[in-house]
Amino acid sequence: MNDETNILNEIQLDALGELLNIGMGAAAASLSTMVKQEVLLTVPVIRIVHQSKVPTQLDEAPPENVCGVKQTFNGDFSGDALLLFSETKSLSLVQAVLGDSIPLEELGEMEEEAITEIGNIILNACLSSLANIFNEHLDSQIPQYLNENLTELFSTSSNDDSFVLLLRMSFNIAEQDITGYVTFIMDLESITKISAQINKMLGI
Amino acid sequence: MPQNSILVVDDSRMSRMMLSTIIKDLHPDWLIETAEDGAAALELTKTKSFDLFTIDFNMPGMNGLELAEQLKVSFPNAKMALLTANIQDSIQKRAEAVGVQFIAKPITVEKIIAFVGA
Repeated sequence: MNDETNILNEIQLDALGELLNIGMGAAAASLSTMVKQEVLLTVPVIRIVHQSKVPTQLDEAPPENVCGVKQTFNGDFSGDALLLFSETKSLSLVQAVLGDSIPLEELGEMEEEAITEIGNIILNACLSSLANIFNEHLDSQIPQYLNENLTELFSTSSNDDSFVLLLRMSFNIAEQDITGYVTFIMDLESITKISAQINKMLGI
Repeated sequence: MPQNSILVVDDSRMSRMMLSTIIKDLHPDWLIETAEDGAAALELTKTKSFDLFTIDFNMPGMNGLELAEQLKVSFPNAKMALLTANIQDSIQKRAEAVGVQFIAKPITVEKIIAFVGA
């Protein structure tokens, strides 16, 4: 656990890790229902880092190109939630979810829409869990499909103060060997508001 | 069960396809129509009548609850369900206030049976 902004102390980071763990548990349960297999979750690692550092901190061997979904949320705290997969695993995931219900020749054609809907379900499960724990309401925008170079996705202008609440928590679907990552991009104001919410919850 | 008509409103083509397939398997004689957003759904209901509606929440234009409120005026006796990945307590309470059932995505056969019957 590490915070470059020093907004969150060790206890708050630990609490946030546990909350996101619950959120990702809900997300993994949704994914498990979709793929009809067990989904294994790694222990969450929480870091708050500048956006530009995400590619090197996402994984020991981060994928060069990623596909996934961005979901913008607004409420007491706001930001973008991202679900990312290695580009090479995208079609395997779609196949795991849709199974035999869609003819093989139509799978590729459905890939973008299917990934968008899978991301919508996973990110909303996680965001809804957080909103419910904080007793807040978050408005989610329409999910956007991403297919980009990882470094370019997190590149920012020099005056950008957007930090990333990097939840390095990968989930693994054993039969397909698919690993996904979830990150939250928020500005300092939103991270400060989350800090206040955690204090309220912990009675600090 | 007598023949029914159902309108599936969802901006995701995957969801529309999955729902249509499940409902068709359960009730091959039902009339199943789909719409990709609230505006398309309202346009369709100008000329067609429906007994049941499944409605996504997060869609371009009006959201699913805004659509359900409008549909309730034209179809006061229709059975409606908000079918969404947005499983926040606040959304579930709003669905209850509007008088629509709440079904959490992901879509499963069991959840759809509970709504449309086997």
